[in-house]
Amino acid sequence: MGNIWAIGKREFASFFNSPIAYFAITVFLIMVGGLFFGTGEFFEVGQATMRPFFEWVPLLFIFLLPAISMRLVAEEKRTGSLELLITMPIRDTEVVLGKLLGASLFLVVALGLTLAYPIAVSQLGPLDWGPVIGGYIGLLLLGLAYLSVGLMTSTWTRNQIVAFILALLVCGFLYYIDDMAGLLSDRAREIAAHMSFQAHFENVAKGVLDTRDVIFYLSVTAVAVTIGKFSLEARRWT
Amino acid sequence: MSNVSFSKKLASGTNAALMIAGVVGVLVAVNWYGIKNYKRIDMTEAEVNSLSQTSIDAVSTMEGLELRLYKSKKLPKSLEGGGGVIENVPRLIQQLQDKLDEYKRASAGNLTVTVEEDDLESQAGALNLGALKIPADKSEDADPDALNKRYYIGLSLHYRTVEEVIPVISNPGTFEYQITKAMLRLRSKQAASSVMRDLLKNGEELNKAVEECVKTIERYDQSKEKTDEELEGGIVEQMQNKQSDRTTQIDEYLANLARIDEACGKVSTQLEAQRASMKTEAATGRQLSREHFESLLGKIGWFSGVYSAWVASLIDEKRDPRLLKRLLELMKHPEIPARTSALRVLGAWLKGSEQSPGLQGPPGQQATAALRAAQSDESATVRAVAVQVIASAAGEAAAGEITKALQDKDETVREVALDLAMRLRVKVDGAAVKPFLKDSGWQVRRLAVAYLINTQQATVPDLRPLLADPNREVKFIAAYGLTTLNDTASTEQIQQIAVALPPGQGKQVLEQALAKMGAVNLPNPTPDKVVPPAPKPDAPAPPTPPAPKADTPPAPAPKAAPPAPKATPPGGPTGSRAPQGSGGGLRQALGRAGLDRLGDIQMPDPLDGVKVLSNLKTEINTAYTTLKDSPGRKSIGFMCGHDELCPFEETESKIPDMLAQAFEKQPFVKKAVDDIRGLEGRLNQHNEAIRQFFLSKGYRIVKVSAGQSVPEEVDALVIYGPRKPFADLELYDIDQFIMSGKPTIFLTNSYEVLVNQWDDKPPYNLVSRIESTNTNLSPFFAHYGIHANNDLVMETEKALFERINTVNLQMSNIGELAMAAKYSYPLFPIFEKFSENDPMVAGLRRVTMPFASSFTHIEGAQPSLTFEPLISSSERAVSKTKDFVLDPRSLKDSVGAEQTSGTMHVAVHVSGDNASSYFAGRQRPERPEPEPDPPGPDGQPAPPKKKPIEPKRKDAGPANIVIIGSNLGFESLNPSRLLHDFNIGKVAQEKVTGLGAAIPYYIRYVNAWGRFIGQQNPIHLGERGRMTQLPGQQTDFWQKNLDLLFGVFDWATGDSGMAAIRAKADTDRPLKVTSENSRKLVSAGLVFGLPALLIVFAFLRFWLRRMGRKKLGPA
Repeated sequence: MGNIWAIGKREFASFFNSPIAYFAITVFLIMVGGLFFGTGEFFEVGQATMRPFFEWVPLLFIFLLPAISMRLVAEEKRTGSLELLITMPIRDTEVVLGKLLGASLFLVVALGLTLAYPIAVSQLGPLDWGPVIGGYIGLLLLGLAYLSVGLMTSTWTRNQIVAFILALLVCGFLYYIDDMAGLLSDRAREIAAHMSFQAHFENVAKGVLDTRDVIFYLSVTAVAVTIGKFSLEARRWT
Repeated sequence: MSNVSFSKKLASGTNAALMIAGVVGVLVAVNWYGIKNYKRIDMTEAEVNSLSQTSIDAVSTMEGLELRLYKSKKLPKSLEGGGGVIENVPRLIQQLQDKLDEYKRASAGNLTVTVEEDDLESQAGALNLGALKIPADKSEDADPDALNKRYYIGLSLHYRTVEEVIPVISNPGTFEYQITKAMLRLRSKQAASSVMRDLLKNGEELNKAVEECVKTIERYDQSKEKTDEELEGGIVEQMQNKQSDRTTQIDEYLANLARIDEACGKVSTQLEAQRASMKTEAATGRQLSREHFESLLGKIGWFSGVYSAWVASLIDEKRDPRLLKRLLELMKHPEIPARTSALRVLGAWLKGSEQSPGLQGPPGQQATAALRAAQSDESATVRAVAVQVIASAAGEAAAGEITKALQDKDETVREVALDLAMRLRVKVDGAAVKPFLKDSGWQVRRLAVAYLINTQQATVPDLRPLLADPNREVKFIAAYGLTTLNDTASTEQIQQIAVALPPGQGKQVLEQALAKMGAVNLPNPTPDKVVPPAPKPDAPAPPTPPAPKADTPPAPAPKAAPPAPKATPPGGPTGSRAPQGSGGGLRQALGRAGLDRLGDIQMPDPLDGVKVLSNLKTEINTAYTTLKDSPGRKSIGFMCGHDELCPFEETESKIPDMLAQAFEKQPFVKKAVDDIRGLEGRLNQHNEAIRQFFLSKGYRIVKVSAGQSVPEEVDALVIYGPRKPFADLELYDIDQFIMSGKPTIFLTNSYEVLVNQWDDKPPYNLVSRIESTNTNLSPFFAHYGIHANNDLVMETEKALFERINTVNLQMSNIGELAMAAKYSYPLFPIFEKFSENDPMVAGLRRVTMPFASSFTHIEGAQPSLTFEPLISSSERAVSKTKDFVLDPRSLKDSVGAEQTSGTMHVAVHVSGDNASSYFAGRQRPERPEPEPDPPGPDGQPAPPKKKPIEPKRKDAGPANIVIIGSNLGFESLNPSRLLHDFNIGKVAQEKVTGLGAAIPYYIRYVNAWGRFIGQQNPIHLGERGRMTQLPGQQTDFWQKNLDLLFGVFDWATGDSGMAAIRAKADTDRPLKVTSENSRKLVSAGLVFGLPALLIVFAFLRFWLRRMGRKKLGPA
């Protein structure tokens, strides 16, 4: 556990020791604001609701989080620092979980900064905090799943761009899977609906914390972490 | 080495793959288990995603409740129907199933949920499911076959012997409302059904018998769609084939007639049994259900009659003497159409008996005897048809039968006989006809006088008294007859009649005859020319001298043929005159079979008869469904008569057809007539749409006419926005209804206000006007401890003003332009204070009450009554009774300077178990004698109506009154209100100005419609975000006001818990009103300020780190 925390801290610090994290979060915040007040027409609609925020942020995450997670392993592979890490008395699982922890802390910071939105909205009208809390829990779970997918693709290649694109595709696919399942059979559509990030997120964002949604996101995370772990371990198979 | 490395890799890879597969497997299992056994926490403030207590109570107390979810297989992504678009169908299904799971969990084992997916298309009609289709804008992505397909997502709930159907379920926000409402309805239906179980069971059996009959007939239907190959050959060949097919089909039916009769005979037997029991049994169940049952019996009576007519027409096709027995059986059938159809066939056979050797001898004698027996039938229709048939078969030899029929007790039979006498030139002694000159039926008198003139048996003493006949037709013919008799003594009277006649051919003829008095005979119809060469019973009646036409309302013209008998209505001895009284459905179902002029059924073709029977079966099925649905159905009565919102079609036009025809040739007046009638049509459409809208929301509303006691079936009475004073008797009726303990709801505006709307008087300027509605309800309310302040309540905070849409005139280069303009308007106050105890307003957050008035409690007026404010203003509200400022631009600024009046109550509820009546100690207002029906065409007054029995007076009783100080923006759109002062006579006098006579009424319509919340078609009012705003409409607040209205209706009909459930769907959380600058500040702060802070922090951190490194010095 200590190793995971140490790697996580190191990873988190490395984000903020370079301008990348600031740049990414700045772009994220500007886009959230633009979409919330511009496309979401917050003042025109005249409702004290965070609905536009929770509609747009999952989409922005499809780009933002793979961009963050792409470098987690691929960068270390490219620079060779991964070999150094592996020679240390740390298990691969700890490496993967530590890196996911670091990226998740970054996610918490990015989301934490957006708390200014519900605070501002609650000053403008009678905001129902239930869906807001649900929405943030949903974003954390969804973000965790995105990051684990990004981490997984990052273990597959030493090229960050390739890792980014792969993560983007997988996340986008899992988000829109039920929209794309139009021509499938009923059963397949049912499965697609259950696999959909979007469907689970909407449920949580309504203010309903459902064990099915939590289990789903954690399952996706677990699968991605497991694959990532074995992918990392594959280096030793020779 | 490489082999070893590969094997190691393979082994590790396999291990890894197995491990991953194991993890995935475990997680799939966990998810699977999680789906089946999940927990959820509703974090929303009002727990909008969880079942309310009302739903839990309902589902947990209904043991054996079954819920069936109908969903089509392969549902597309989007669907349209049920008043909206479902954007994501799979998600909707998931949400619905989740909701059903919640119900299941709350039911403690009472509820069973099943999913039905198979063969929904064929069951949809019987199940009453609503169809959904792929939206047009999604059609590009869809499979072409799927585009024409109908999809279903609906529910049915079954509880013991009763069921309820939700035809379409498409809005997750209202799942709970719809399902729980259906459950509550099911519960009360079951309770009511148990009282009238027999009635429902009998209805079901009758319906089944009809279905079995049609099924049996259809079993022998050999027709099928022919392919192009089968249709080969020329037109002649195809026609021959068609004829041959027809013959084969008829043969098939006749060959199996015994089997068909066996199945269909049950309909008749059961029908008779039910009719008999209806006569003897005491009333069971509510009046409404009995009415539905009687309606069902009426329709089945028609079915039975049509079936008999169909059998007769089949027999007629073959004229096989072996079928004579069956025909003679039909002559004894209880249904009139059966007997008349058989009579006609029998008559046709006897007429051609020379070609029917089978009818020679005893069979012919049997047939003739049956025909003669029909002359003494209890039904006038049958007797009338009998004399027609005999005359048709025997011609002039039927003189004896015709003379006998002339003595018939029924006017119609006499009329038919006279008609036949004229057609067939049957010489009847004038002495036998002369008594008919005093007949009560004007048509009989008319025919009698015409007969006597035509046969030259008329004498001056016979005709002179008829110059004073109340019927103009009779008077005219008598006058004409006297001119032929050269009765100079009557010249003056005849001249007066001629003068009184409106211009036209009749007048001309009479004037010419007067001029030639004594010199000419009948100018046109001489007896020889009158009689048609080949008289037939169905042929048109002989022409009489031309009937007078009128520009003023003429008397109804004599019919070309005898009218339907009045003594015995068709459809069986106890049958009703269904096509006249049963709406278009039955008329349509009867189709070509239609009624003949005597009111019985004519079957043009036996093959068409099968279609007619099938259509009638559908009609009967609908009637049975209505009967099945009737128990426990609550009715809300809407009082009409004081210009209230009265959402019912008004059948009586301001300009009846007859009057409209009179102005056909006056173009200016015609224009006004057309416009006004068009407006009436439009207003009636609106009202029907509003009624349907209420019905679609589960509220059965019935009309309560002012001046008549409130029908027993009414469970709650609504007096919605009255604008006229109430008569004492009307107040008495309302008061007695209150004393019955049933809820009574008033929605009253103290003032009628126009704000920048068009004046309905020339020069039609924009005006603002305020007038008192003067309803004289204040003393009535005061008796129950409610003081009506007759004020206008305004809020003073801008956040509590709703916007008003008005019209402004603005100057432009091309003159004045009318522009739509919106203003925040204090006279459209928003109220946010609701009673915390009353379920009527549970869950409501705000309502807008246009031109609201307030009420205060009169302490001690009725100590036993509890006064509870339902809706109150803020403490900073203003109440004004004079010096009103209406202009939105100045009012919103000036209202702030007004003296505040403190909290005002704009809706109140008064209730208690022992209230005294408003009329206690006072004399009961006398109910006038019911007005008789208008006099008949003969000018003789209709028989007086019986005065209804007055219910027992109550001077004390429970009271349950709700008063809301605004009509909530729903205006009366009734023709009787908007066209009350329209006078066609005045328009006709003014001719040219008549061209624009409809303008003021259109202005009133536009104004009233402009003030009406909603959209053009209120059916769609229930769909959020699916309305089109029209200029002048106050559409911003309609949904919340409807929520209030429905909350009150639910409470009034005993479903008080529904208000809280409905309120859950209201997720409206409006922002506080802020200035444009504040908005800019907030958005800029969040969009740019927040990232800017982060950047500043980043620079600061990097600078500090750099400084730190510098301090450490070069490494």
